[in-house]
Amino acid sequence: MLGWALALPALAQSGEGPAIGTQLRDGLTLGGYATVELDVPRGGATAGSGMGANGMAEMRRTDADMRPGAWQQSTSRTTLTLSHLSAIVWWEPSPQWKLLAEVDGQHGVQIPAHDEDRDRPDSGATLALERFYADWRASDALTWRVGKFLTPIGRWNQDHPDPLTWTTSRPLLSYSAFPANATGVMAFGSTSLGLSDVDYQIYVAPGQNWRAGAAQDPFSRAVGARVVLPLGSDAQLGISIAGFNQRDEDTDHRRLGGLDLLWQLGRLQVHAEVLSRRGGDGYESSEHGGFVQLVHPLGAGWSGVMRVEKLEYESRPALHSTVLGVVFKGHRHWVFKAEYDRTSTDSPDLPSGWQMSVTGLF
Amino acid sequence: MPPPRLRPRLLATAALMLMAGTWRHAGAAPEPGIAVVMGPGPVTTVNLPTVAAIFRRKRQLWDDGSLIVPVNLPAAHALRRQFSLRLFKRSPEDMQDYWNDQYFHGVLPPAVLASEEAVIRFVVSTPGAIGYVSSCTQDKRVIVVALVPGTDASCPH
Repeated sequence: MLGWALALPALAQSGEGPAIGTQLRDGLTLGGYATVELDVPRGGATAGSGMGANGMAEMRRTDADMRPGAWQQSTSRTTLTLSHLSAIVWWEPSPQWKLLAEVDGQHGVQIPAHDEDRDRPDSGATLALERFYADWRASDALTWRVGKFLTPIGRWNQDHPDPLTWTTSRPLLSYSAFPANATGVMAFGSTSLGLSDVDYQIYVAPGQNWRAGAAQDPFSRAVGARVVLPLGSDAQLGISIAGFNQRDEDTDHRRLGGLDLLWQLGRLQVHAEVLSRRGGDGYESSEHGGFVQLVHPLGAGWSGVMRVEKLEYESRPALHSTVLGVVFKGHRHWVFKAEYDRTSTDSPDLPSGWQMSVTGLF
Repeated sequence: MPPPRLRPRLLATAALMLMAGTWRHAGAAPEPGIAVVMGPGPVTTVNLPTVAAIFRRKRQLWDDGSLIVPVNLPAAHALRRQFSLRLFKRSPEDMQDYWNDQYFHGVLPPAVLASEEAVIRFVVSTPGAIGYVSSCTQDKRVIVVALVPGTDASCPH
């Protein structure tokens, strides 16, 4: 895929911090980000493929459904997409209370248009409610959260917004094994362990998600926990466990465990996650794998990134993925990413090809 | 309302009290370093791990539930760079990814004030505020609750 993304940053740089967002009134902040991607699948922009005046090429290939009830189709066409236009607003009326909402307009604009995808559940423009919760902070060691939040499994899922990641694509591991959002109650905080702080999250999601996307298979119930341990000043180890059922296969109780590591090794950043999910019925419910991502500055704001991922399934061939790319982080929080993704099999989840994107915060 | 105070972390706090006490009472020869300062109040010492947690906004409440209000110097300020390198082992620019991450969780970085004098005036007038100035800047309006030691800077005589 060859792609690029456009963002709408308007940040007032305060030094190390983003100082992003607009103070609408005392305690009320509005911010967000936008990303536009141009994706050119492997083989989708070859000579003679019918590239039009707008530089877009289109080729499609439809695969047979792989499981009952699942919509499975892979595309290999070049697309230009406003993939995210996300707005975050939070209000802190007192030191104890915070209300936060994030809505994400996805695929608001796509060229070529996605009319032919109208039967696909995740096609077309959607307005997703990513987060909507209220926090009550009893202390720094304990905050109660009620509402819809990002599932605290691994590091990537909670830090997946485009401005925070080093690649346009995200590892399949970070979202295939569990729903990205949960609606319920969470207790979290930081507590001292010697001279270091340990972060924890414990959550219960007793019912289905608020505004679950049509393409999602949300939790029908879930319980889990995550702990982040500091390993010196340069590394953090995360441990995640969860037990859950999902809407589409509600009778299949799944158990999940994972480890994630973020290690700043000199100028090299290492991000690794491994995860194992076991299910009761055995059909597509068990999978395990991991990825390792390396990021190293190249100078003048550029960084190089490489990620290798492997996923093994109980009922399907293993999947291998390699991503090589560069990232430019400019002033005022513009982020440009260009990468080549190669996967062992084409799928809608992990297409092979070039991707470029530009993202910005506002 | 009970006065705001932090739980002592015994070893680190004891060491810090010794250092801060030395700095404050040694008279004419302050140690080179960065003085973490607050306005007069019940908080008299804060250990360095807690200072780091405060300036990363990981710790946002004093023990009485009142808000901690940290203030920074500008990123280009030499003292700010020393402070960041000593406490976080990263330059202000290197902290940008961290703050971008925090932003998505509804946490903004500390406010920035233009000068050490502005920091002093702010912490004196704002309950729960905490900032930092050069240890050479002896000022009776503030109390030193921590000392970030070991900087290369020396105080002018």
